[in-house]
Amino acid sequence: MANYDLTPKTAPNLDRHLVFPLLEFLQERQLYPEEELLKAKIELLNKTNMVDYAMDIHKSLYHTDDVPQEMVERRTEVVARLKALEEAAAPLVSFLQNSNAAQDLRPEKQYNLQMLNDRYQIGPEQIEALYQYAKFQFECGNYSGAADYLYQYRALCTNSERSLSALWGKLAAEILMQNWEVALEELNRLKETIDSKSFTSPLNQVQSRIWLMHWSLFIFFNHDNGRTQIIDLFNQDKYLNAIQTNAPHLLRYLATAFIVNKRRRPQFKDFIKVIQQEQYSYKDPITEFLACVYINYDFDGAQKKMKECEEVIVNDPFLGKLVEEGNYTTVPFRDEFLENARLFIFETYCRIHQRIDIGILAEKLNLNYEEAERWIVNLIRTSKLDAKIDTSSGTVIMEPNFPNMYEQLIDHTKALSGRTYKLVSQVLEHAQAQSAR
Amino acid sequence: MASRFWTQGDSDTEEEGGDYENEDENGGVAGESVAAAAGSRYLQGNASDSDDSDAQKRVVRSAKDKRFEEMSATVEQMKNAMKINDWVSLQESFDKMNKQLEKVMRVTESDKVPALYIKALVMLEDFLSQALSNKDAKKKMSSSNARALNSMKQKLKKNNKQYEDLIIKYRENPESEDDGDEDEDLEEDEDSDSEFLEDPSKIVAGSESEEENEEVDGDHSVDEQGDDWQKKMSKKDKLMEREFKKDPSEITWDTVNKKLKEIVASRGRKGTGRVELVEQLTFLTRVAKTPAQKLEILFSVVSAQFDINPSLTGHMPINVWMKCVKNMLIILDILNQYPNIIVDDTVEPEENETQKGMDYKGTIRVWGNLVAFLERMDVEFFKSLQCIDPHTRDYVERLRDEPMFLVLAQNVQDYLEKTENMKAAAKVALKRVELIYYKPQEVYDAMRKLAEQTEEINGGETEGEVSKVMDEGRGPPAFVVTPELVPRKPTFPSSSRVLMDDLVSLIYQHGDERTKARAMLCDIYHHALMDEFSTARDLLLMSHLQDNIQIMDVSTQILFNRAMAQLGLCAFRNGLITEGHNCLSELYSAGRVRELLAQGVSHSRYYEKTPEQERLERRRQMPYHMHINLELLEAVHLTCAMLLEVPNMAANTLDAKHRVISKTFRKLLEVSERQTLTGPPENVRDHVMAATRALSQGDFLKAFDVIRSLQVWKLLKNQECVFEMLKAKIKAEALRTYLFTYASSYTSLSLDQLSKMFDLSESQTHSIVSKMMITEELHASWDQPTSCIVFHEVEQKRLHALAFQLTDKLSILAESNERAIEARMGGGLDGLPLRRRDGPDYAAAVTTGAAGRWQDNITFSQARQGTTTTGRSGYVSGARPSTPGGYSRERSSQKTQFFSHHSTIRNRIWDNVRLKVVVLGLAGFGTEEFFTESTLEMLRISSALLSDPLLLPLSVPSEEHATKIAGSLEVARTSDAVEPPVPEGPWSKAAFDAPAASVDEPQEPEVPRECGLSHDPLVSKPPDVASLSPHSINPPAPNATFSAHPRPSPLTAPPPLPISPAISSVYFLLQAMQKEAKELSIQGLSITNHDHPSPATEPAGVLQLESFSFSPPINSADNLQNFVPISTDHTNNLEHSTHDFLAHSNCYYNHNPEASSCYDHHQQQQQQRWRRSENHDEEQERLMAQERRVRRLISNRESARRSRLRRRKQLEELQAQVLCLLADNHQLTDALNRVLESNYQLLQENAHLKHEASSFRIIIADLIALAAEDFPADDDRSGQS
Repeated sequence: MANYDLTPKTAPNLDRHLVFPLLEFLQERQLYPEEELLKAKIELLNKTNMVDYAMDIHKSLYHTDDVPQEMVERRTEVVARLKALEEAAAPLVSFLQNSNAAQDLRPEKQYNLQMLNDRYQIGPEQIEALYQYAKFQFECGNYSGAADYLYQYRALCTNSERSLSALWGKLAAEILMQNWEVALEELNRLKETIDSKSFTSPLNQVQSRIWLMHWSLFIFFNHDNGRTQIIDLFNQDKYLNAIQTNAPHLLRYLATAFIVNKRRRPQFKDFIKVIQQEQYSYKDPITEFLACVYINYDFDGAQKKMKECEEVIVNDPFLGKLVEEGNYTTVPFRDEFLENARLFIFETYCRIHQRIDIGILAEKLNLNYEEAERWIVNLIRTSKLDAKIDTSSGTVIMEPNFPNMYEQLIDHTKALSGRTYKLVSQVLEHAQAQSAR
Repeated sequence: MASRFWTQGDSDTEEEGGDYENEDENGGVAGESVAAAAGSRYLQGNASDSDDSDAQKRVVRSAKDKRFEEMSATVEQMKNAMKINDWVSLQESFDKMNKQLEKVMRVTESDKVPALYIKALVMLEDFLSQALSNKDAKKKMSSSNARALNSMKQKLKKNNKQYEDLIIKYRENPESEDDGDEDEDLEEDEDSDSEFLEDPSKIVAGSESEEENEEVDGDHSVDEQGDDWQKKMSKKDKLMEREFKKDPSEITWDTVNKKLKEIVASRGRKGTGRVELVEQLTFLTRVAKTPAQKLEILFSVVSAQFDINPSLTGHMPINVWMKCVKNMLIILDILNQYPNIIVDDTVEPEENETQKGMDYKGTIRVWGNLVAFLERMDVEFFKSLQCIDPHTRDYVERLRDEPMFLVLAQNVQDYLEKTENMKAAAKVALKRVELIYYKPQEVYDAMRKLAEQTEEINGGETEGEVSKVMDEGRGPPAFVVTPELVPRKPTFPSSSRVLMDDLVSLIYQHGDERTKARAMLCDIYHHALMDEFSTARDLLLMSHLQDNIQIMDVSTQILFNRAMAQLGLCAFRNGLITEGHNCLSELYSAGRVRELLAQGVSHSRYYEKTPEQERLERRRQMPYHMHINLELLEAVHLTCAMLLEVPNMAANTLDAKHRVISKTFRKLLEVSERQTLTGPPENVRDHVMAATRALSQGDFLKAFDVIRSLQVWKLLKNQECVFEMLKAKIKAEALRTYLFTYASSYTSLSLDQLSKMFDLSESQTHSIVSKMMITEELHASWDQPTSCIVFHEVEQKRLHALAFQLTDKLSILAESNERAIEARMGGGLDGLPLRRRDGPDYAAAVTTGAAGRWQDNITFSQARQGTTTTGRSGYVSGARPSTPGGYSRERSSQKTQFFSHHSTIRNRIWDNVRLKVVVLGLAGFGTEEFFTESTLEMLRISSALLSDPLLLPLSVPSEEHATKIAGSLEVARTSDAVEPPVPEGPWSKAAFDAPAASVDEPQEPEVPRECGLSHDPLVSKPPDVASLSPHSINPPAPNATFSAHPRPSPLTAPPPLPISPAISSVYFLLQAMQKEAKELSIQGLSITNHDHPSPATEPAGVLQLESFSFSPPINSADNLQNFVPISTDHTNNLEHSTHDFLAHSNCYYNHNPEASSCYDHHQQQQQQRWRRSENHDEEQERLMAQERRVRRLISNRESARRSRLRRRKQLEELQAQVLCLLADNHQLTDALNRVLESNYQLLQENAHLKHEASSFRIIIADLIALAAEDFPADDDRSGQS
């Protein structure tokens, strides 16, 4: 099932540290040989400062207690650098930790800088050191510390580029700490910065957007309201363009969000067009499912795809999140997806049928007869469906629902009266104004 | 300038030609000067012929001397004039010399006046003084001559003042100064060569034809002296050559350099053989002393080679071209060998730069431009391919040279990349791209193989090689041996795509805009060629080339067209019919494909091209091997158009003009349909037309066969796949066409049959049909158990179509009204468009009753009828006790909202409209007439709004109407308003719970109470209605007023109808009732009427009368029935359709006048029955009932007739109204138009006046300024103040 795995595609757009959760997930799912994953992890860790962790993995991978020399060297190097940075940043850190002193800070940046410089002799070097220190902390895996420092750094920083970088760092740290609410805020802040016109080059901007979208996946699929927001973000023209040009695999997540989310139907049609257009560049069972239902009207195909989708979802690090309930674990997203997908199929199916055999319907929906009947009854009761069940022949009969001539005509004319009314009032006002004059 | 000079020189020489050689020792010089002048003339011609770079080069060599030569020639003339004492010509010459002086000064960039000039001045001065002193001679002079002498005297005096010092100096020592100066000047000349860059443009300005004329003029004179000179020259040459041959060791850099200068200077002169020149130069390359010098000479060789072909249209001889390539390669060899030599065309190198030997380490600059040379080579190659007949062997031979050029380009590019001149490298890369982009992989492979072979087999046998060998054999061994460093064999990657990618990415990085655009287009073309449609399309879309291609140069536009054509072909091959059609349709829309693709000239009947245009066009033609096959293109385009257009035409048979996908196709189809006899298809068009005919009948096999029989498909790469795709598409479109055409003749079609019929799999058929259903192209749905398509008949009747047309027109009218108002009030309606957008809310509010939601309509209309049944609600509720209160409340709240919206009546017309719309909506529901009626009403109203005064007369009739309606509505409300007790009162609960029978009893007292409120004299007043109803807060107050004034005028009326929730509950009940009634037939209803005769006759009569005269139901029934009779009277099928639509919309036959009146009576009777049932004996009742029934029957009929008559009358009235309103409207529009027109005229006049005023103001300002100048003091003062 590794062929639908998107990790190789998403990973280059993520921070090193953000890839770990993905690898963990893959390890859990055992899509790839364990050794490969462990090697990949070491590879990842090589450039970070989490040397101890790398050592552990190395040990478990080769089943030895020996650690390669370079790792040991790296460790000492890291520790030394940590010390150096700590010292460099010490004045500012101590200032910030002193709550009394920190109260002197005010919203104005200039004032703060001036104040720090005057009272505590903290100049730009120290502030820069704070950034470096935070970065280093992040590399070491101390995300909460990094997040704090970065937050404070941003309050003091004057370099816009650095500030942006700090923002990314903060977002990554929050994601890794799983503070979804805060992360969402950071995400929005970052989005504003990226969308602002002052951004350097269009190419850069597109790349940043793609990164942002990748990072946001962590948040959106964990935050309660994420599924609506992912649509809001991804479906913006700018972001959709970015997806289409450089990261078509993100369509999977947008498609899933659309399927699961019922509130964003208006945009759905346009999205179908995008899927159709991008079929050549990216397809996986989820987009193919949509294509089957909405482009080819191939319901058997859709059903097959639905089964594949299930696997895709279970094996996707973002979608297939496990939730433990009592003794067994479920993938809540899968159930939701399947339910909605079923509804999608059924809706479209009903639109073009006037009589459907429940048995066949049940088959199409991956349900048994009883379930299918209950399901339909429920739909009818909640007035999602204009139909009746004929038990004697075992069929569902749709009530034809044609746009009435009169309705159409009225639709055409009803705006007119409003306009004319407006016109008259304008005329009258005009006349009054003139007569008053 | 030069030409003028020439003509003058010409006349001079003709006059005094004989004197030249005899009289003056300087005759030779004069001759030279003339020859130089001739040379410069050639120079002009050539400059305009060839590239700028060449022109610059040549000019650089000769023009520096030219000025001096010109000047000295003038001095000669002066001398001559002096001899014959011709002051007139002397004066002319003097003026000319002064002008020339300016030029010389500019050219040499020095402040120093040339000695030549000073010398002339001195000479003139002397001569003048001599002439003046000789008084006799002066007297003898002709008057003109004397005048000239005098003016000359003054001029010279004035002029010489400037050069006083110099003249004195010169007089002191005349000779030494002269030589030194001249030397200096020479040097200066060379230094400042770059200055000449400006000049060529000036010189080029002379047109070719002029040159030719001059040539003719000048010929004979030049021949005399020029020949002489030329002989000398060539003799000298040979001498030199011999010299070189004799002792090669004696040859120094200087001699070579001098020789080079000489040859270069002779270049372009009349009589200089171009070929000879090249040979001389090639000879020089061998004797060159230093690599840099060799390079310099080689550059001149190449540019001289470019000169060999003088005309613009012809191409360079092929063997010369080959030699040129060789030379270029040698240049590159040298450059690679000596990386310290830099080629540059921006900075002029110093004179002795090339003297630096091969050991010299510093950078040596040599003038030259590799890219320009290369581009020129490319142009020549292109031209040669254009000129050679593509069907000869020559063409193929010529094509074989292509790899050679590619090698050269590759090497140049490599060199440029090495020297990091990326911009130039990008240009060269583009040249390579342009040679490769159109080659499919096969052709590319062939070229690659050819390139490898020729180099191996033909090795030294190519012409260039031969000549080179010969050259070398003849001449002495070259001093500077250049090893072949640069590869002579092209290295091509195995896939053309790889090569393209390399080159294109280089260009994207470093190229300028045009280069990038061209590279992008080539890239798109190549992708399309490789069947990668999506990539090509994305490239095209991302580059936004379509947007700005209009402003690019013609050849890029041609390239764009080519790319589009190829893209279209590619889309077709990939089965993307729509995309393919979109790509190609534009090319074919104007019918000038040939021209657009530069593959031939099309001659227009109406438009003659000038020869120049034709020449231009010929120059941009594509060589044959780059052509896109036009027949194939047409076949693809027409096939695509057919596949799209045939089902489209089938779908829109009614309005053919509705949506045309391909106009070209339609036109062709029309033409072919006009033919009386259709023979077997011959060309592409005929084939496609034949296929179209077959396809439109659903005969997919024939269609496919006809298309397939086209020969052009052979050109497709994967023919079989394309055929398969095409077949599938044709099948699908045939199926669609079939369904569109014949759907109306079937009620159902089985999937099985369909798929067999079109040889499609069931799933394909299912998918196609489903798509049609979803897009609502086909009004049908699947019957799954039997797998049939069931068609729904929802075809449009003519009336519907007309109604839609009318609404369209209405909206246009409304828009024009808005525009008119905007025009009048000057954008006062800013808010309107906005409003319009969120209009639905508003409109929904206005028309809730009539149009907003379907449900509302039903309830509303039912309410109207239901009001007759006020007393019977108990029964109804008993029948359907489950009335959800919440539901009704919701509705009612909607309604109250709606009506409160109208609570302030600002505009009575609008109330009329509203009411009318509402009432019409209610009444006409289910009748088609309603729409025409209501829309006519709208029409009238909207026209009424055109201007104020019109409102009054228009509103009058509708006012009456509305009064009536309003009254009826109010009454309806009054009777409705008392309803609340029904669902809400304490007893009503019982009514809901209890079975129907038992409800009858308690309900009865309620009924009279209600009637009492509505002034029913028969029954007593209820105790307190308000206290009973929880909803009574709003209804009672208006109730009272209404009961007091049963028919208030709408003008003074308070908000009509603040409907209480009760109304809606009644609606609901009625709805329920009607549902029930659905099961019974009307017949059944009337039968029940007869079966249960009501006992009370008289009260019933009273009630009936009352209801006719007073109560709304009848009124509404009137409205209802207003239009129905027409349907019954005039068109039976209309009624049928009414029936259909009624069925659809849950409305019933109640609208049928007979039925509804029966129904009404039935209801009333029931009321009566309940009322009297306690007091009367059943037996008696039955008897009386019989009697009454007969009576009522009669009265019913009478009343029906009456109402029918009334309705007809009303209708006629309304129609008359409409007519006169239309006429009014027409008049008004006319008037408005007239006003607008006069307004426009006024505006124009105003503008004119303003313009005049402003011009006057300017004049005044000028005057003031003048005045201010005259009196600056005034000005100052004003400035201070």
